[in-house]
Amino acid sequence: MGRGRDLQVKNSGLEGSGENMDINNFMSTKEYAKTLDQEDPLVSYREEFYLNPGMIYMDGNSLGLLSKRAEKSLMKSLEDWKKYAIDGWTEGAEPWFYFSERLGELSAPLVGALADEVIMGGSTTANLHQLAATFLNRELAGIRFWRMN
Amino acid sequence: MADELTFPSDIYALQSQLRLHGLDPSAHLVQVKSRDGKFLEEDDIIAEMNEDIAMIVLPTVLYRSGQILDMERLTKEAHARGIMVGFDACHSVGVIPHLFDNWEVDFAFWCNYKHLNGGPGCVAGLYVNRKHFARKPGLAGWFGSRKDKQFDMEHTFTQANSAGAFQIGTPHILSMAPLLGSLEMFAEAGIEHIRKKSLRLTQYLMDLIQSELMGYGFEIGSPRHEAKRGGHIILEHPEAARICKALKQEAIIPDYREPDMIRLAPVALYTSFQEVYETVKVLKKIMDGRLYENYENKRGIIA
Repeated sequence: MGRGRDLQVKNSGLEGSGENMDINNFMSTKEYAKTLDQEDPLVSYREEFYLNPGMIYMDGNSLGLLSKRAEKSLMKSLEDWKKYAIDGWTEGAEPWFYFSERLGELSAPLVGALADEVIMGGSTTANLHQLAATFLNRELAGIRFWRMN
Repeated sequence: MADELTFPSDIYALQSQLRLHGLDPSAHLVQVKSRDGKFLEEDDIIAEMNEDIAMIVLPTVLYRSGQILDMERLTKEAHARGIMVGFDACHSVGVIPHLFDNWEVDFAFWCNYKHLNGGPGCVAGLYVNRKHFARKPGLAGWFGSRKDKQFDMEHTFTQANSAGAFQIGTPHILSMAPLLGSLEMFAEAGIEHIRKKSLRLTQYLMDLIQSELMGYGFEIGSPRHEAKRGGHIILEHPEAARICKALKQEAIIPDYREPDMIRLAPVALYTSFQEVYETVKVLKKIMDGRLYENYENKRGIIA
């Protein structure tokens, strides 16, 4: 059983909170789980999500849960459609013409990129198709695999 | 080049792209082998980087075992051989920090409906390193235009000088709008803090499994080492499919992955340690009472 704290994830900010939480003191009791929750600096975010009472959701890496903020931003775009119709592309809470770029900018810190290096659109597989179609060509690959042919 | 453990859709896409070039995927797509069917060794990937490889697409985090690949090292080794590198970041975005620019990754793509909570079918993400902005999109469309040129309606494509150039058609506004609110939370909470809690949750889950569930035939199929562990844990068991059904009956939602894996993802922003505790407690109850025997050991359409 590896308990190694081989990688210390940097802790910056949220000071004081969570500092006593040491999983090396693991105990298999319910009280221990409660203590970990009490010492969790991110605990308040839980209230921002729609959680079904009595249900434990362990599938957030297939489909994440709806948060109130996500619901709100979706409703804003619907409102903009209602109110501005075609002009929603350039007006409203979040003008649609620039929306993909805006979301790219917000996502950039999550991947360690500059704002203009990230864009939102398509689907995972459609984006791979785009990227493969862009990067896998004769000029870029030189003679590499066409030589194998 | 790809790997033999990656998500099938990536392989289908690469195979079809090769076919479009008139190349036979069985000869021209190299898939790096796993030694144990669970993990990939960076050394094995690097060993396959020979002069016949033009482009590499790998996952950041493997969708089953949750192993994190050493993206920095792999990118460096590929570039030393003149090979382009791209990553499928579906299972890592929103749960581990990335440094694509520092690592000089060429491109990446990911979905936003997993850890980023963008909703079912939410639009996806695409990253292109600045040094490639001048490249012509393989698949061009009007939303890839420079913003001030797009409505000139010319038949000559003037591409945006950004990753925006790789957009194709009109964006799916209502399938991306939830992301705005969601991304705000990630900016506020900070990805380093999210990663820290995620590691605590997965460590706690593994500790509980180790302490409560040994002797029932379970095996942990995820890396113990923190630097190698993504945001979910794989629990292997020959009866996995019907253990998942029994868990659902008890109002615990796991994920089943062929052939014998229970995938559990405690999520930093909304899963509590007490829920992790309850999950393992219920698993123990299911095993003690052999409650899984009430179900067929076969997955439904999805899980």
